[in-house]
Amino acid sequence: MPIAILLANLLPTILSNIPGLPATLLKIIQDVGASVAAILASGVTSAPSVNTVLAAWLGVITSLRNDPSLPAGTLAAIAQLEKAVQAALTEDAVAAKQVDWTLLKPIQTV
Amino acid sequence: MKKMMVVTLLALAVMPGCARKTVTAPVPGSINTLDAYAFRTLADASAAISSVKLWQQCSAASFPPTVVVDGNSQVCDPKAGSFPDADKEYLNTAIRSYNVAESAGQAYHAGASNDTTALSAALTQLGVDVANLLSRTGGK
Repeated sequence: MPIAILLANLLPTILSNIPGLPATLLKIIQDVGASVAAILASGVTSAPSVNTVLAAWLGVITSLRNDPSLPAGTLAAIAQLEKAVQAALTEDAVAAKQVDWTLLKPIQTV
Repeated sequence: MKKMMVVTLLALAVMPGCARKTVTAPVPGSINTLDAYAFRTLADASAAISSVKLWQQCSAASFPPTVVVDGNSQVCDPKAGSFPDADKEYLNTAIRSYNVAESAGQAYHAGASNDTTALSAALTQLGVDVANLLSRTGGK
């Protein structure tokens, strides 16, 4: 299982732990999480299924963004999480088709 | 605690030895399945880490229009909000794990090392640390 799919599968845990989530959104997160788990259990982790997972989570995150009860700091953190997962999934689609080790470089600590 | 357990269990699931066995065509540019898996894992991790690092660097510089991250100029998102200082260590832990796995992967691909156990362990640890990083930064 590539890390990108691990991260997509991690999203329900992260999102459902956000304090103050309305019950309706929690239910949606649980339902999407169950669907993702079913995809992963099937062993089908090709690009189309990964994109389906991502699209589902982007829908959940959009719903969260439109919830006026969530603090701005929480929404900002969710947006950054979404960017990181999306970056990983986008990269995963490319890396699954072509291996080029010259593209990988060490990263400097901050 | 519950979140940490889930992160760890999920990360363990990415171990090559635990992966569901499927017959797939070799990926162009790879020398074998482990090589392709290592590259893919590292490419995914690099993208996720770089995304978080960009946020941290922009936040540390009070969100200028652009910052230079690892030699590349990148645009800051002024709406990102401050990167929590307490999360910096999680970012550095993920970066260090990435660098260990990247070095092991490069050596394996080049034929300089045949230590598949160490490479697999490094990739698994990378999965744990990247998941921890995103759990930490995104789960506020």
